[in-house]
Amino acid sequence: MTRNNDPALLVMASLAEGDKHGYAMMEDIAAFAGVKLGPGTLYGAITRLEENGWIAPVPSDDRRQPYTLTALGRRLLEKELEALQSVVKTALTRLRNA
Amino acid sequence: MRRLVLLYPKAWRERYAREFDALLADVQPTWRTALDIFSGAMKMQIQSLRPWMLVPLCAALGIASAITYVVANPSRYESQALFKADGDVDHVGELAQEVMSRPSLALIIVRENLYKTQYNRISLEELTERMKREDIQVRPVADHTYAIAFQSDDPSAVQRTTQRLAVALAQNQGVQLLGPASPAVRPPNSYRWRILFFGLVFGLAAGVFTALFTGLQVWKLAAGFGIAGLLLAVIPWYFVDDVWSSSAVIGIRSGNPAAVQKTIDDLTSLARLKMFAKDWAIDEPWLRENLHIRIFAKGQAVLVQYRHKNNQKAQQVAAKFASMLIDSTPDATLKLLDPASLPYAPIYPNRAMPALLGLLVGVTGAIITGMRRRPTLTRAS
Repeated sequence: MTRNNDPALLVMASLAEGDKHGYAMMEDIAAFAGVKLGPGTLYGAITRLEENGWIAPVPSDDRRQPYTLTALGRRLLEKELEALQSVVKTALTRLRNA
Repeated sequence: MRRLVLLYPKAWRERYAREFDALLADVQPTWRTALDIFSGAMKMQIQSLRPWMLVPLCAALGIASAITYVVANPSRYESQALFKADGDVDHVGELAQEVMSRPSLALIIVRENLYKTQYNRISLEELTERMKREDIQVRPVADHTYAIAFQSDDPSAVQRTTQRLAVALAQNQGVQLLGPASPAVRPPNSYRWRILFFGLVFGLAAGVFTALFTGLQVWKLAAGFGIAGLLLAVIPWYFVDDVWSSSAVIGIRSGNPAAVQKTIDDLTSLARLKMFAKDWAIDEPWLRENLHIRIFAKGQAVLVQYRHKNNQKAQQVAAKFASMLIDSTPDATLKLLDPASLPYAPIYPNRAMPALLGLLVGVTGAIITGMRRRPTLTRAS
């Protein structure tokens, strides 16, 4: 399972938009999350996600390997984001009422 | 920077090297990127190891750290010289203070080239103060018999310095040297082994705990049993008291060994031992069991050996019996050949053996269970 601040969650969030290769993921994550993932961290996350069957490589002739979210990965991401959304909603409500 | 990929496990490289290389061609090469790749490679190496391999790896790292520490901290050596002195302990203390005056110690430091590494950093005054406070010791050994000892990291300088201090002491009236300064030995010898042992145990524990977070449930069970086995083997031995042995050798220069044996029998009679035990606050059965005086070398020498739970007490009792034996045998000429030594390492218990056995059992259990683990993508099958 991923944690909210886990590079794996960021990678899955990036792939939720569509298939991407490593560099495109890094650029996308930097744009939407403001987090600059290094190549070592990115591929650590990709390795773990692929091992768990949450993402999969897409056949390609390019040296840049694109990845896609699997059905299992999509379900997990939805579950994680719902949990995250619940935390964000509760925290915001509490902040407003404080 | 792209060469850093070689740090990744082979199985990982076979799967990801091509695309990872393509990514590296796109990113800006900075030291932060290089550090990130290095850190990623190390994590992947750890993840790719079978859990049981982490145990010896971390144990080796622990030992390597301990060896580095031991090598970085030079051995300490000690030499001692025995002397007889009239007067009480306070009087001997005063004599020792004279010998350890700043000018005389400063002269010794310069002549013997002591404290080479600190000489340029610390003032001579501070060095003499440190030498007096930490490295020289005057201690009672038996009635009117004392030892002056010096410790440093150069064995030959240690012996020469002790001899200088002893000769300086012997220039006082009523002080008689009993022999030259002993060869320098390492005190306490076992501390290096302790550091290595703790390095090993620490490394092993680190390996087991790291493995716990990368392994399967069955491995966790094995690691748990391994640790339990190790602790069960090691802990009880740390509650067993150390036993130290000190011995003195007396030469029978002339006279009948039978007369010496008679004195030995008299000194070790139950009544005398009871009296000595009371005087010296020692348990009488312990004294009877651990004091051994015997004639050896075809009747030419006597060995006085005593074992105790305190090393100084072991030396004191052995020295006292040696001195009483010499003084109480009028029909033979006895000469002290080797004064009672101050033991530097306990003779009992041998804690290393059960610790090693415990480690062996723990590691073997971990290896057998670890080998049953399923292969994964990051680990060569």
